Amino acid sequence: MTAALEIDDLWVEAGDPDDPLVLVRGVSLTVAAASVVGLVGESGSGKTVTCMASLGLAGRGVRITGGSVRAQGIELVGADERTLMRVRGGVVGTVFQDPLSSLNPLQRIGDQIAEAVMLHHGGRRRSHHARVVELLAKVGVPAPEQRARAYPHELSGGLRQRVAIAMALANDPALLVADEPTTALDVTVQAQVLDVIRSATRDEARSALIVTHDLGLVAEVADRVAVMYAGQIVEEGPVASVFQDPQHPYTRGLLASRPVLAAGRRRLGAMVGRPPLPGSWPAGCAFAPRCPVATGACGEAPPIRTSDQGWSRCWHPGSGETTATSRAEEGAA
Amino acid sequence: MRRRGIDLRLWVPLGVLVLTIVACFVGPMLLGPEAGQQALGERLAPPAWLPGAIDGRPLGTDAFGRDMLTRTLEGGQVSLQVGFGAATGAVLVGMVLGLVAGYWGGWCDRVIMAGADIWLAFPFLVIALAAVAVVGSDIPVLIVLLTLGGWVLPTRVTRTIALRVRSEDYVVAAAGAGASDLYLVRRHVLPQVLPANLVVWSFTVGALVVIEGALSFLGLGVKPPTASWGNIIADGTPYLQTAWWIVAWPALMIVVTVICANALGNALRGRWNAGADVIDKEVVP
Amino acid sequence: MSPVIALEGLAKGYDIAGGARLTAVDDVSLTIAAGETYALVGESGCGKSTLARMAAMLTAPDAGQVSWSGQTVSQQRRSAVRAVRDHTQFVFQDPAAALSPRLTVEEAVSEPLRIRRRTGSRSVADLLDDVGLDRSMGRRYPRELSGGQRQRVVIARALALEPKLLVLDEPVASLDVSVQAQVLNLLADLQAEHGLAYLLIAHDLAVVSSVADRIGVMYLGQIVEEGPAGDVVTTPRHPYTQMLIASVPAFVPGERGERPRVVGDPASPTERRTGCAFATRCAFATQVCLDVAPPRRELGDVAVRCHHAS
Repeated sequence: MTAALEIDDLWVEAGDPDDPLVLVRGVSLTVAAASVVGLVGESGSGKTVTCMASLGLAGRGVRITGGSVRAQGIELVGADERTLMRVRGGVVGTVFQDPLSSLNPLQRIGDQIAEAVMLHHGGRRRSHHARVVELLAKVGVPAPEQRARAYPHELSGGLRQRVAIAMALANDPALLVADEPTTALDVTVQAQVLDVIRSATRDEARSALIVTHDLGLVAEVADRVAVMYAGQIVEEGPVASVFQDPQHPYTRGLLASRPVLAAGRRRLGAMVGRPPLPGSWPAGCAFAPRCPVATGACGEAPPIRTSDQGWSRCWHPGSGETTATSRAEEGAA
Repeated sequence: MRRRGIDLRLWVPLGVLVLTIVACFVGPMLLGPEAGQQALGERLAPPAWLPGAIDGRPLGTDAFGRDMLTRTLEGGQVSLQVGFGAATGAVLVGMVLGLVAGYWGGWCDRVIMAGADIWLAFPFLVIALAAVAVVGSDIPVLIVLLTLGGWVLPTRVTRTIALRVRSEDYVVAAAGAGASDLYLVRRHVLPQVLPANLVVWSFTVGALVVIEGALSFLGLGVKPPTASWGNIIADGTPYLQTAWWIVAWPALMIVVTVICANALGNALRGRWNAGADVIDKEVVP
Repeated sequence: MSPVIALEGLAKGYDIAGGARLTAVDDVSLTIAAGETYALVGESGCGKSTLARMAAMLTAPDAGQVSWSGQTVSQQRRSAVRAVRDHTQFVFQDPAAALSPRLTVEEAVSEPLRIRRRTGSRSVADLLDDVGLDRSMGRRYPRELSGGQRQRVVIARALALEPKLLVLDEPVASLDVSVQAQVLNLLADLQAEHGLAYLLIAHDLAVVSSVADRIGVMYLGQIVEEGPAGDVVTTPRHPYTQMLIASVPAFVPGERGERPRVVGDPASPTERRTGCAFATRCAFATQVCLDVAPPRRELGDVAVRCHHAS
């Protein structure tokens, strides 16, 4: 069975070609049919660039310098604009962080969704009305008949993001790509939008790639998780095993530093330092300067070690009993 | 263009402007008083490279036989004094009013902004005509008049920036530490308002030099025989077919001055990003 | 001993376009003791930031009273106002906006002292030490710093006047996950060291539960539930608190999908209403909820505004 999305050894850079700023270095990631993958990382890790460049949406000055990206078997790297347009919105639906910027403020939302359908199915706007209402109902927009006539500014943030998801689903894509889909939303609304994403994937056997900084979101909706650091995936595996038995010290640190809901004041397992920005990635293992278990070996690029159903990029995988907390707090961000 | 050596976009217009000013104020002295005198025997002589030119009159002469080079430079004295002086006045007035309106707000703001709107609704030339009729048209009068013609833009730019800076978190933090309004304006608001107003000043110089030219052309400027670019053009218009150079030189100077002033404004805007968006919004092209 | 801060019956509204009036804060009272962290939790528009600004005297309330260590202040008395400035300082959500791009770290941290024309007992270098920044950072400009470092500078500046209370408005919301924990731990250390009281504004219950002594849950301008953090988190009484807690990601894969559904958006703070503000989203609402605004009721250590909580 064809994977919904296959990213193979993707390299992305920006800036002056003679002195490029490398943003992504050799990312390989597969989103299998009917599975949801979470791509997690902090700012500067390259998670958003990976996702945008894969769809040819990375913007001016950002170049793919190697690797391949196939959506439902269609090669996207080097593809012409026609192919990309057919894939975007057809095979792949996209949802972005800020729903307001992805909706045209001057157009009724129903018309915008209808246009998304028209782009791939032709016909006239009117003829897609039933489909529009069906889509709005599917993403849980109350009173979809009336809401279709609303303008974006008349809707709350949560409703707008539902509309954005409805647009992404307009042509029944095999893959949903969502970049920080809940970050801009209130907590109770986040939970609702997660429910929508979950039903749009699980109930309809649709695949999804969710790009986020929020491990909680991944735990909620994803089957597999890939953790990015300094332009590389450092750990990949089923959500359950990665969360319960993280192999890479960075994953362990992330999990330890994320507060969980529980009674009582407590210290959080803070990592030392801060995520490095592109252009200042340490040689060898990029995480070594922040790593509680780093040794001299970490000056060399770490090997890929496979475990159960996943893999990690670390010289000392799984050596996590002395958790990141032990060396926390020395030195500051 | 920057970083490698000097920024040509900034220094070329600035250099040309400085050169123009120096030439206008120093040049006539070097050329001597004789060149500006009427000499009816030398009427309408063409520039040096055309047949019939007269020695020592490189740009030709006007209908009274006066040297066009001297006339153009002398005319520049008036036009530039009025243009630069009024632009400076307009920016100073605008900064004060803009700070009051934007920083203190309330009824001051409403009064000042309503005043700006009403002012723009009046036809400026009619006001200028009336003013000149009543108080005459000396250079100081023209400067005041054109200051009134140019205060709205710097007021609006200053107000918008002050309004924004006032609610920035770091200004709130300073207020929360007990800072007085005077401290906040001096320390946080002015440093953002100043560069933007230097940009506005540049654009305003260009605009006011044109307006001064127009006023003089209409006979509302300084009275002849004192030259200004505008009244030289007015005087030369009847001879446009036979002696184009009378109109051409002052017109060329106006064009060069305005282009350089605007180019300088653009370069400064590029250099200090502060306020660029505000200026873009307020300057109607 | 009087509490570090006591808010009594605070209210604040704003006139908005179209002649409507937005009720941001409506009859809120709370007190915070020395060394205590009081967390206000709620969604955007619930009024928590307005409340925070009134606590730091950055906004004047329409009604009600704030007393700082027992002192109330009429806005006219300059010396009294300055006493409050010394007493309470504010830490902003976005450290990039909270620092002037034109001031170096050193100038920013020393600005409060410069404004007050006095020398603090702690030098800029000491303050930078306190927040875990190298002294050599003093010469840098904010643009040369990371988000976490900037927030440390903002905290150092807030400490310059040696306040008793810090009002922290979402202090870690804009930071990377791995840096959030560092800043939260720093705040805990500073509190232990200086005996500071914190009023923490946050939307993230998980963050709040790990740092707060007491939690107040705000909904549309009112505190609907308040009590010791452990009680609020483990046995939430108000249906809104229950909904908030249900929205926190479980973090344990496999537990997903088995939680109560969250419904609706918060009602608009401009709507006039009788009865309970939460009734429109509440699964337990009855007629009385629509007709009568629920009074504040004490249930043990916890206070709740709900007709049905028990």
